[in-house]
Amino acid sequence: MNTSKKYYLKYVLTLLLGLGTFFFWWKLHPEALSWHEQNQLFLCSTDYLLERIVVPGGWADWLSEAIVQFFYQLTAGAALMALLVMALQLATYKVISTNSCIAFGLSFWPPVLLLAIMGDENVMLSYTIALLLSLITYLGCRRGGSVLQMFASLPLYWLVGPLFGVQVVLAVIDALRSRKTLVAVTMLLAAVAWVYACRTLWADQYPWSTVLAGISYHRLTLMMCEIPAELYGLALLLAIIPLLATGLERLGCINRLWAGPFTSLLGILLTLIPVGGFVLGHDKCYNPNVYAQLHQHLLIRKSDWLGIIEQAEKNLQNQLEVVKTPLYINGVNLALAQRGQLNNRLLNFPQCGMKGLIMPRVRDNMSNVTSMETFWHLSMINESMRYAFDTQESIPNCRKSGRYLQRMAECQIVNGNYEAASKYIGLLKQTLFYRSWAEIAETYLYNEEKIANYPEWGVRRDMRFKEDFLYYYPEMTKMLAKLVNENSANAMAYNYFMAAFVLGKQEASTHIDATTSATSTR
Amino acid sequence: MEAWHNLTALNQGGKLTFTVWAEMQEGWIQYNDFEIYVSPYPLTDYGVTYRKIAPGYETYSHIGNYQRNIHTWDEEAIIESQTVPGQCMSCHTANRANPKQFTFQLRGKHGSTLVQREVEPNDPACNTTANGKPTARQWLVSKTDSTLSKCVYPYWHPSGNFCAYSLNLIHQLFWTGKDRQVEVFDDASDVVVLDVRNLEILRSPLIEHTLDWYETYPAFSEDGKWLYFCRSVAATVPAHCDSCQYNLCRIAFDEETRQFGDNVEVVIDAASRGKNITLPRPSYDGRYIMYCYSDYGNFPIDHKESDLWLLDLATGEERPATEANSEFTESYHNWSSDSHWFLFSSRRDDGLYSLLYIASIDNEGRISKPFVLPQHNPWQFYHQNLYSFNVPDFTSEHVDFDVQDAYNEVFTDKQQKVWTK
Repeated sequence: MNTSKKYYLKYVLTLLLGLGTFFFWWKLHPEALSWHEQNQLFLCSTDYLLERIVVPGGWADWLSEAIVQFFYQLTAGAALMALLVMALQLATYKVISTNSCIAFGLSFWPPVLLLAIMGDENVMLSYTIALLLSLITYLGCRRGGSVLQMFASLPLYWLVGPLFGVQVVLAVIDALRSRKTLVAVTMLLAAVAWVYACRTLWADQYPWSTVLAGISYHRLTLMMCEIPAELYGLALLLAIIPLLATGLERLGCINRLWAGPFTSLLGILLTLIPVGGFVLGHDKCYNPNVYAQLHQHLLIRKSDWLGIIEQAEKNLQNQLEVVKTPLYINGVNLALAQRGQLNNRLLNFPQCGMKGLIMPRVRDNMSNVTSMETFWHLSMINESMRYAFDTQESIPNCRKSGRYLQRMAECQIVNGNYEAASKYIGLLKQTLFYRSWAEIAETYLYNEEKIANYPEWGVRRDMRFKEDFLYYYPEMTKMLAKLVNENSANAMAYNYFMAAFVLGKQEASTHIDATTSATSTR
Repeated sequence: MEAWHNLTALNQGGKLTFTVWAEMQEGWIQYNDFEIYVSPYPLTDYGVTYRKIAPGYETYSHIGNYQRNIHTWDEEAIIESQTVPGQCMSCHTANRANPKQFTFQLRGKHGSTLVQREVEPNDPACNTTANGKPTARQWLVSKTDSTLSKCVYPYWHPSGNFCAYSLNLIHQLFWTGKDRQVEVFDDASDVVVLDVRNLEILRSPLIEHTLDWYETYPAFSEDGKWLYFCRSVAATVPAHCDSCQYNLCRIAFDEETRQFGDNVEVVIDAASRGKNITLPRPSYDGRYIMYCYSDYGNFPIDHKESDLWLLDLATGEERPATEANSEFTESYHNWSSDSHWFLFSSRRDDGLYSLLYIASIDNEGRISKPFVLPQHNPWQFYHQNLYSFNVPDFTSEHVDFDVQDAYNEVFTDKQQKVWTK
């Protein structure tokens, strides 16, 4: 094969990686994109930018949020993810800086490992952005030598956070290879001193463990003060990848006769191994139970009730554990109710009593999303508002959410609290994808007649509780009965009341069975 | 900012008249002139402190105690939630705006009550410095076998040797109707005093373990001889939480003997009028007590009808602080060091988010029109703000608090236990 054909083949492989990634996010895991998008509220404002960039790594965080907002459109999100993965592969290839098949094969490892790592739904896109910016900085400064690399590393730390270490280590390795030991040591010391200074002067509200782990690479870092080991692993691989490539190329050069076929074969193997490993190990990285739940969240968001029922039937056939969890059952029951099938098909699916109809409050950003929607459709407005508010407040990295804020604004409109609604709408107007909704919603404020005629809000107003009383979860059946009594047209409340009644009886009989069984055993 | 300071200094006790012209499509129009009255009492405190928290239900994300220099735009965190991951924090409470002496609580796995105070260099409790002074920073396990709960709502004795706390078994439920959201109530509550020198909890059977009464929101009088608090007849909660109506009461306290008086005086019997008093805050000049006046309950922030009222201690007259009140919640008030200013939180802007308002009071008890804590662009700032300004207070100087030491102390569980006889 001549050189130009080899050249084009490489880019065809890169393109294939991109296409594979695109289809992976678009068709296989669009729920992951939706999940990331609903856990942030990116505002197109200077204030928001300033708020983000006051900490090390803030720029990567801001940039990643700017990209994640496009995940609202799943196709665009998948395309952006594909571009980032391709960029990582190409940047890795350039970093290795030899034009061999081995180098090219090896350059597929980081992007594929990244895809595997992103199976953890809390790994943030800022991790990818930080890796990319580190590699790009290294590549951009490579010709300028060690001194330029050292000076570039200082602002880079503020831009991307501790993953600037990838650039530093790559530059240090270059210096050591050029036998500039003193320069290498100086670079390392400068990097350490700079991190210490930045943290002491500008990020003293963060514990050292958080600063060193990276404030925004993982959604749980602010709570756990650490990141999963795999994130360090990939960064380390990128930092030493030129050394690995050199080592493998030298292995091929031991016998000159074998060098050509060996490197070609190794290059092909190095490309196939990560891709094959990822395909085979997909379920290990992307927990089918977690992703089935996230997929249900996405379908609820799209009001695809039939899709939820079909997915539940499929998951039941595949014996996925998730179908027995209260949260999943919540979604199935909501879909059944929306399709008018709750009372007929309730017992066709696993049930778990009242929890399966409406979840009690749980302090995380996943468990109450479905009940938030159920309350909304039941016209239990304050409860929907509360679940939306608490779910937003449960986002572990303290971000707000466009999706939940929109629901909160709707609840405030239905309740006639227009000033509070106006605040939420004002924020949503600063976003790219919620703006048009917010602008329309704004025209409804203070206009009772218009709200009454709006298909959804008018109905919610009519069907909500007429009498004010204290909510008490253990008395849910009574509350549903009250909702029906106050407005007999609230069919969903009636269906939920009947379902609660049936499930309550079922629970009671299970309890009696268990008691009888325990007695007879004795 | 400097020009504004100069302008107000030149017009102390006077007024500034503003004329506003605007260029509209139809040409220039003039709005009605408006006036800003400049108080004769310069606000000499360094700034204000507050907690910022989303006005939510049962979950918080980002939360922090902050200080704001009121002579500039500078806001600075005292401690934020990311410093102590997984822990919730209560509000910073200083002794008469003195930053060298304050308390707040952390809640969670490593939860404890912080007491930081200036001490003599040879005091065995001295373990750090703050504001250049020898300081004791102690993390306390404030629940004992004999007391109801951990320490909750604090108030310092003027001597700085004691801090009164309420002990509350707090619960909350949520309203289903459109006008109310949260109802916070106590299953039981007491008032005790902590001697911060030896960490002893001082108790009186008149205000602690009283099965028929709920006591909460303690506050020492300006001379430290009286301990004010709110007391309600115990009720079956939550079913009858609306019958929890608190009176303003007081009991004598002798700092020398560390003894309480032998009877509880009812200062204002609000319950007999079908009303409710919470959060008494005596002015530091001994002239007034400002309190929240609402229909019932011990959590005025969630009661739209809550207004600020003043009790003139010289005349015994009560009156609403009408100049400062609105149709929405007013609560969490506190006095400046010279007691010529007070701040409070109000939900008047949107009915949900509490913002910090400041007003002045003159020698005749006339209250000025309150203004919101100034910002560069107040409308934009507050319209985008998703936090409530909670439990604000004045601070006479910058609050000096080493968050990293705090982190190390909290997570190595270096708490000390309080004790009681």
